[in-house]
Amino acid sequence: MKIKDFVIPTKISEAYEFAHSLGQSAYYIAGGTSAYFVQANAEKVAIDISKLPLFGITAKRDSFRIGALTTISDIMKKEEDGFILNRAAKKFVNQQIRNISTIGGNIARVFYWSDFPVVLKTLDGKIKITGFDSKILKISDVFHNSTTHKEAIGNAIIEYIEIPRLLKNMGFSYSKETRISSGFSSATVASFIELKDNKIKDVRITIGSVFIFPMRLFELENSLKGEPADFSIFNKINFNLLDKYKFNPRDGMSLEYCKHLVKTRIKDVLVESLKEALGEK
Amino acid sequence: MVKKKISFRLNGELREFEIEPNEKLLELLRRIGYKGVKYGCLEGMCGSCTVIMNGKAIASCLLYAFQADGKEITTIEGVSAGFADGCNLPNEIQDEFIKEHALQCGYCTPGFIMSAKAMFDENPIPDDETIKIYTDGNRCRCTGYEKIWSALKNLSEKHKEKLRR
Amino acid sequence: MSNTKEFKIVNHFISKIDGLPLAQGKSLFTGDLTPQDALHIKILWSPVAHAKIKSIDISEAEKMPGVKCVLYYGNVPRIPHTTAGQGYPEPSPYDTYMFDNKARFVGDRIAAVAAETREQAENALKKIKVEYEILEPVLDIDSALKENAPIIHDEEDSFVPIPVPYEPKKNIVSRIGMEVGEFEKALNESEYVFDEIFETQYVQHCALEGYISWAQIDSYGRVVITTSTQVPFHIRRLVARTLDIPLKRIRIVKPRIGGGFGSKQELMLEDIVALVALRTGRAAFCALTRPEIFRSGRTRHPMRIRMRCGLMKNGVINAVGMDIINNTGAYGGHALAVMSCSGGKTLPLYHCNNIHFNAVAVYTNLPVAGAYRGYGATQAFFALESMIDIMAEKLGMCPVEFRKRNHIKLGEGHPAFEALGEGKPGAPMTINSSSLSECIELGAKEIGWHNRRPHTEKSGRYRRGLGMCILMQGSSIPEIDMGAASIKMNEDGSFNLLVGATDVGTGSDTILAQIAAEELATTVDKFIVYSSDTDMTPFDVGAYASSTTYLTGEAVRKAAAKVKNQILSVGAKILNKKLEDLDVCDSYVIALDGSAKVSYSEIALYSLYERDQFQIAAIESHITNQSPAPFAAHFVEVEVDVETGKTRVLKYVATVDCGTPINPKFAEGQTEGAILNGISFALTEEYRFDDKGKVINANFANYNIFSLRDKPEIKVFLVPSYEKSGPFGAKSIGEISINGGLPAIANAIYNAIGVRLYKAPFTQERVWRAIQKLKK
Repeated sequence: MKIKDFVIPTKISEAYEFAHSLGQSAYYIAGGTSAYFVQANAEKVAIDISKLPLFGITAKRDSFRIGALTTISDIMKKEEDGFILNRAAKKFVNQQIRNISTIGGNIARVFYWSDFPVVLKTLDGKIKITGFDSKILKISDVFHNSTTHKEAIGNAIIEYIEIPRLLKNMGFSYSKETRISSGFSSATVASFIELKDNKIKDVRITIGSVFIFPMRLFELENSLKGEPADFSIFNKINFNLLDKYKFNPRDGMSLEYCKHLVKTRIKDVLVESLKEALGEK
Repeated sequence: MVKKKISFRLNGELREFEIEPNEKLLELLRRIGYKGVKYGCLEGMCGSCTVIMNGKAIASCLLYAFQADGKEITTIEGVSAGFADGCNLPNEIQDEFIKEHALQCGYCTPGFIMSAKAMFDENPIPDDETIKIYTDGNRCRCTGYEKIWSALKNLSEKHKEKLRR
Repeated sequence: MSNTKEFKIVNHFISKIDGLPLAQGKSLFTGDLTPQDALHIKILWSPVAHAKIKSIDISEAEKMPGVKCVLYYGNVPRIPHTTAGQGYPEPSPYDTYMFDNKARFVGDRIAAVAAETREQAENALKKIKVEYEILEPVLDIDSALKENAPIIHDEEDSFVPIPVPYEPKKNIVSRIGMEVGEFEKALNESEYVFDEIFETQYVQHCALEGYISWAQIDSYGRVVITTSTQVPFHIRRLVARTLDIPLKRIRIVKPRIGGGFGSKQELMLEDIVALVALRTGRAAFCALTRPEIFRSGRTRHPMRIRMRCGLMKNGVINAVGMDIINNTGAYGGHALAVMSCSGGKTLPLYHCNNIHFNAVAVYTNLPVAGAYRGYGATQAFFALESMIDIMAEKLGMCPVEFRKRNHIKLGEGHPAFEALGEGKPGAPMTINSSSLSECIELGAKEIGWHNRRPHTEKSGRYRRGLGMCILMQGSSIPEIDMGAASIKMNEDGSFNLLVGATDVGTGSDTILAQIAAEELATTVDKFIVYSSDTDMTPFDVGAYASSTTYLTGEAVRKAAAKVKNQILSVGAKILNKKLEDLDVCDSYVIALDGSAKVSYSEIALYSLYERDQFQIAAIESHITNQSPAPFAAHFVEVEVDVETGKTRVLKYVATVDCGTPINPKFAEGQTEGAILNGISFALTEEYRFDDKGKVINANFANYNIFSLRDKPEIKVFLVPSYEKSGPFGAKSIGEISINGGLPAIANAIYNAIGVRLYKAPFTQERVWRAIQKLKK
C-alpha cells in the first residue's frame, strides 16, 4: 500500500466525513500495523484516527467497555476480576505491535488469524459503530460472517465494544496455535461456558484462522447445552458436526491434521472453561 | 508527491520535519542521521528498528512518520548516562549488556536496549514473565538470548536491591 | 607452554572492544555509512523456477524518471564464476553469470535498475519487459536425478576449476566418496544391521543485518566496495573475475557486520554495486528486503542421508555407511566442500574399521544453498547420532555408555581425516587434545541422566524425555586456509593490530587482541584493532570453517612474538643488558634479576626518535596441516503432547571442549547462539514452497525463529583441553554446537514417546503422524 496523503481529524464526525468523501481511497489508520497486509500497489489517503477520543477500558457492574483505540498492550495490562481479554492480548504478536495495534483495528480488519474477533464472537456483547449516525449492535450479528461484518462497519468508525464480565459461574479459555510465541496462528479456538444448577446453561465455541472468517460452532454448542457440568461430557462430543465445514489448513498442515488439531483444542478449551466455571482454577 | 510538515519531540528536542506521507518513521529517522535505528525486516517482526514513542517500545518500520506527529520519540541516540570527554556515557542497560556479553554482532542491540528501557521505565523490577513478554518482539540470532536474559535479570535484581536500601 | 600455565589475558573475560559503540547504535554498519546521494539499486528477480529468457526490453525502464543504469544479460560481461567465497581455485563450479539468459529458480537475478530514489528504481523495474519460455522445473532431488530430467545448467561454458567430477547434463554438481576396509562385507557379517534414511530441510541463517553493499569510485578511479561480508579478500578476487577488471583496482572495506553464520561467505551484491558505480561514476547501494533475502539469499543444503550400520553384540561398530544426496539448489557453490564435511567432520567421531561414504550433489530449480554454520556436519550428525541411539537401544545399552565405549580418544587417528578434504585429499590427523569423555560425564550429571526412564514406562498426555548426542567439528581447513596479521608499535606503547580476519559479530577482534596482549605481556586496551580492508590489512581467507581463533589467532601470536623480540632488543640497548637477562612483564622490559626496567612507551619513543630508529613492527602468516577437532556433548529434555505432537524443549545442557577458551564468555555466547539456532532448526524452521517452487513463507512472520520468550533454559559448560598447535591451546568453538539440536531432540522425543523422527523439522504434525503410525 502507498499512502499518498494523510489527514488527522480530531472528531469522529470529521473522520467519517473524510472517509465518506474519499470513498475507496480512504484508509483509517489507528495503530497502522495492518497496513502491512494491504495490497502493495493500492494508493490510499490515510485518515489517522489515533487522536479521536476513543481510549480506555471502563468497568461497569457486569461488563467492560473498551474504547476502540485502546492498544493491545493496555488490554494486556488490565487486571481485574472478570476481565478476560488480557488472556488473548498476551498472545498477540509481539510487544512492539501490541503497543501500537488497537482492538478496533484488529476487529475492523478481520484476518483469518485474527485474535480478538475469535474472542469477541465467543464472549458476545455489544459494539458501537458510528457513521452519519450511531448504532449499537450485537457483536454476534456484526461478526456473523464477512458480509455482515462489511455491511455493519463499512467506512464507519468503531467507537467501543462492550463485553460481559466473567462471573463466578462462568469460564473462558483461549488457545492460539503457533510455532513460536509471536508466530501467526494456524488454529485459534475460544470457548465460554456458563453453568446453572450444575448444568451447562450456555456454551459458545469459536474457531479462527482455519476459516476465512471466524466461525461459531452453533450445532456443537447446542449439543452441549443442558448437559451436566462434568468433564466426561467432552469425551462424547460429536465431532462429525465439523465435517460440513471447509477447513483451510495453514502453516503447512494437512487437512487431516488440521481437523484433528482443532478437535483437540476444542476439547482443551472446553475443559479449561469448565474448570474455571467450577471455580477449579 | 506532496511533502508535509509534522513535528515531534525527538530525544527531548521539539523538531519539525518535512516528510512524504508514505514515509515510515524508520526511514525518516535514518534519513536525518539516526542510524542506530536499524533496518531488519520492515514488518515489525524483528525489533531492530525499535524506538520508544510516548514511553512505549514500537516498531518504527511499521509506523508511518506522520503517526509520530505530536508525540515524543526516543531513539538509541537519546539513551545515555550523560556526556563526558566527547562521548556519551553508557546508561545502565548498555553497561550491563557489555558486561554480560549480551551482544555479539550488535545489530539487534539498540532495538533490544530500547525495549528493555521501555520496560524498566515502566517497571523497574520486572519478573521473569514480564521480561519475556516485553522483549518478545526483538530477534537476535547471535546470542541465543541467554546473556541478554541474564543482563535483564541482573538489572531487575539491582533495582530491587536499590529499593531495599 | 603447558596446560598449567597461568594466563593473564587469555582465558579471561574481557568485554567486547567494540561493545560500547555498538550498544550506542553508532554508525558502524554498511548501511549506516552509505553516502546520502548514492543511487538506489533494485533487482528484478525471476518469478518462475525454470525458464529461458526469450527477450528482455529495457528501453522503457531506461527512460523512467531518475533511472541512471539498467543491467541485464545483454549489457554485462558473461563470465562464468562461482559466488562461493572459498580459497582459490574454488572447489565449486563456475556455473554462475552476473546476469544470464536463463532463470534457474524463483528469485534468480534477471536485471537491476539504479535510480536516484528507491521508488524510481522500483517503478522502472516494472517497465522491464521479459518474455519467458517456461521450462519444466526440477523441484526435488529425485526429479533431478531422473533419466531425461530437464537440464538446469545446459550452458556450455560452465566448468569446475579443479579436477573433480562435474556432470551438469545429469544435474550432478559433484561427487565425493571414500572406502575404508570392506564395508559391504562387514555389513553382511554384522550381528545387527541397520538401514535408515534421514532428511533435512531448507533453512536460512537469518542474520539480523541482511545482504547490503555499496560502491563508489574514489579520486584515483578505483572501485571501493563497502560490504557486509565474511570474506573481503575472496570478494575482491570474485569481483575482479566477474567484472573482468584488475584486482588492483578494487578495494573491499568490511565495517561492522550484523551477523553472518555463513550467509555472507558469498558474492551477493558486490558485483552489481561495483558495475553500477563504474557505469555511472556515482556511489550506488543495494540492500535486500527480508523476503528477497529469504528467496534469493543462501540457505543450508537440504540432504537425504542413508545410514547403514553393522553392529556386533559386544558393542563394536563393525561398519558405518553414509550415502548422501545433497540438494544445492540452482547453483553449485559450496556443494562439494559441504558434502565433504558431512563425512569428514562426523565419521571420525567413532571407531570403525569398515567405512563407506558416498555423496552426490544435485542441481534443482530451488533456492541456492551455500555455507551455513556447521557446513554439512549439521545434517550428517542428525543421521549419525540418531543411528547411534538406535544401535545402543538394540544392544539394550545406555546411549551414553555406548558412545563412551566407541568414541575417538586422545592420541587416536581416523582414516576419514585423510580421505576427505575440500577438493583435494584431507590431512592425516591424530587427536592431540580432547576432553570429550569429561564432557559426556559432566553433561549427563547436569541434565540428570541417571533419572532417565525408558519410554515404555511413561504415560499420560504430556511425556518428558531425555536425549543426547556427541559432536565434533574442525578448526580451519588444513593446508588451504591462511590467516595473517601485522602489529606495529606506537609512541605510547600502544599497538595497531591489523588483521584480514573478519569479525562478523563473533568477537574475533577482541579475541585476537587478547592473544596479542598475552604474548606481548600487555593489556587489551593497548590495542587498536582494524579488520578488515583489502587495502590496509594483510590477507585472510575470512570468517568461516571455524578458523579465526585457531588460525589467525596463531598468526597474531607469531606476529606478537616477533614484535616482542624487537621490543626486547631495544630494551636491551636502553638498559645496557644482554637479551637473555631480560623478559617482558606488564608492559615493561624487565631485568630478570629485578635490577632495572624500561616501559614499552619509553622503548617505542626510543625506537622512533632517539637512536638506530626503526618501526617496531611485524607481519606474520599462519597455515596449518591439521584441523583439530573441538568436541561437545549435548543433552536435552523435551516434553511431548501426544495428543497434538507439539514438542517443547525444557532444558538444554551443552558441554564443550574448545581447547583453551581465549575468552570464556565469548565461547559460551557462541555456543548458546548456536544451540538456540539448532533447536529452532529442529522444531520450527523450514522453507515452505508452492507447487511452482516459490518460497511461500519468506518473512519472519511465517519463518519462525525463536525469541527470548521461546527460549528454554540453556546451560553451557566449557571443559578445556590444551591444543598445542593452537594459540595458547585454543581450538575452534563457532560452529560445533549448531549440530546438536536435531539429533539430541530426536533422541529425546524417542525417549519420551517411543517414536523416532527421520525428517526435520519435528513439527507437531510430523510428531503426531509418527505417533499414529506407531499405534497401527
